[in-house]
Amino acid sequence: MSKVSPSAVRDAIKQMKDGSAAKPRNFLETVELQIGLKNYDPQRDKRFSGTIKLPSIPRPHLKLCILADAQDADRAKVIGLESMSVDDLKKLNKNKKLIKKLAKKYDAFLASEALIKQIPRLLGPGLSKAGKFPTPVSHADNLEDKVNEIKATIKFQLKKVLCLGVAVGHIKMTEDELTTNLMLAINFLISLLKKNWQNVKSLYVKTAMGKPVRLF
Amino acid sequence: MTVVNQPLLQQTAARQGVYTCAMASRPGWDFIAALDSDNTIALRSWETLQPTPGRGPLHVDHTVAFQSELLTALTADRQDTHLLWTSGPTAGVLSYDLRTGQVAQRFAAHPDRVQSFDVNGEGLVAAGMELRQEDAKIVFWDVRQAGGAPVRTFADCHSDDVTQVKFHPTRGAALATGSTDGLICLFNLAAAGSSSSAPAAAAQADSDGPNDDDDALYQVIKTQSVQSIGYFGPDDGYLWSLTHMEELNLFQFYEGQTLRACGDIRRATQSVALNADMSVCEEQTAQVPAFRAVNHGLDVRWARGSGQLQLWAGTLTGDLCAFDVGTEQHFTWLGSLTGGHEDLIKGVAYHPDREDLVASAGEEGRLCLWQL
Repeated sequence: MSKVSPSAVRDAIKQMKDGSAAKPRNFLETVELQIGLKNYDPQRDKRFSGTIKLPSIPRPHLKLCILADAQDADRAKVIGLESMSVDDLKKLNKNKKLIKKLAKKYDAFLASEALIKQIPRLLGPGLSKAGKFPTPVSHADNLEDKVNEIKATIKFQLKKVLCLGVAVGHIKMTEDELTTNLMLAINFLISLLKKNWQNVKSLYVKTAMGKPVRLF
Repeated sequence: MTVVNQPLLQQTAARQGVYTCAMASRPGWDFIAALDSDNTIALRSWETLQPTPGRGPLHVDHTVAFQSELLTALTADRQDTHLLWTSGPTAGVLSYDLRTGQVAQRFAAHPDRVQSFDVNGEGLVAAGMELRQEDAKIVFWDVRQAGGAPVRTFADCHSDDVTQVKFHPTRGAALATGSTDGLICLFNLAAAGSSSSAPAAAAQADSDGPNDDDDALYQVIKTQSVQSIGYFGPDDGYLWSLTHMEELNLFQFYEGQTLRACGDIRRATQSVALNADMSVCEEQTAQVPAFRAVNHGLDVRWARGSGQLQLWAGTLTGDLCAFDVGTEQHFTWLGSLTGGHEDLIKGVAYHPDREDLVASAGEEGRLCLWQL
């Protein structure tokens, strides 16, 4: 059972949006969910990460690239997605600096299913090290959907401290979009905690530069 | 298998603020090694679950105290029945000689903090480290090499804490690692480079040193934040993984092709077959105990005798549920062990000789012995 109702979330978003409107910034402010935990021992309890796809894309400007076979390269061209072929990758010659540079150039990678098993041999561990090992795509997948899925996916990560934050949207989203994203993100996070709501001390929503508004 | 009326054979008293967080046993042991949250290790009888002074072939009459440093993991040596391994973030990887109760060997790579470890049957120790600066390392030591310097270091394969390190049960050069970065890496340690690396790699591990991940890493599986992994099948030719999102995935071992994505086990256990004839239970009935309330996966076990891949899971109220993962769409419910624990179950251990005996540890401090 959720302990935060959609209407409470909506009220908090209104309050947050008002705050942001009163002090507009000249960049697109992200909207963050901040969570404080309790009854959790980060030394002994699991320190997890988890990802969830939200209905409204929180980070529209992510830059992606597909490591593609011929068919996927054609499909990528149609939707304006940058691609690299096996030959392009071979040219990097497993050079660590070049692979690091490639990893830095993009926020995330996809790879054709036929190609993904060759990645370690072609590139070594460079993309893994950068935390950007590609997501596999099959020819049956709709490429554009896959791209949007990656852009819409957020990651929760619990480290040694008892709080975590995650971007769930941006200030230009409508109240409805933000409410839906927030509700999903909250319920998902709760499902990752060992005792669900019993581990939640506080929930706040805020814009990048704004004041936190308490949800729980 | 049906539900037995009195499956609870033994139960120890609840303890205030102390619980068992890891257990290990192996063939040749009539006891369970239990690591408690106060950093003590007790050897507890499989019969009574009590610490066993002077009982059994090992005359184990000691409780090992290692109060100063946190210990988090525990495993039995694959070869030597007298050796028990444990690890902690700053303690490193330690082996205890059960005959003396003393630390036999200790391997550490400060300031890297140990998250996970394994020891193969050939005396190779591998430890998965927490992410430190840009590196989440896998460090190797050879138990026969005096001085305790690492023989090999991989620093490039993961981008977050290495939560799992597992050597293949029979092929000592095959290693799988898992991380919160969502990757499972498969290594062939016999691949070229193993001889050229040597201590130099370790000495320079803090620089961009000559570690040889490239040669050994041959496959990467992209999944979600890895909670646990293990091998299964008659020849251990398959790999299972449980993610922190409680998803169970099965892979073919050598090349890592996905065999089956079972999805979130909390959902997958909502509709399971109640018995082997696969009549699927969709309706909650009075006869069906709370396997629907599965909250977290505890372990996946290859039961060699029955050839079953079993999923062990816990509920928020301390029930223990077992399922046969099977090869069909649905899991088959094997039983729910209720009334033993009042709080979350932390772990399970299996009797080395009797496949139907299982011990469990709960956060309220109890240990329970069950007969399925």
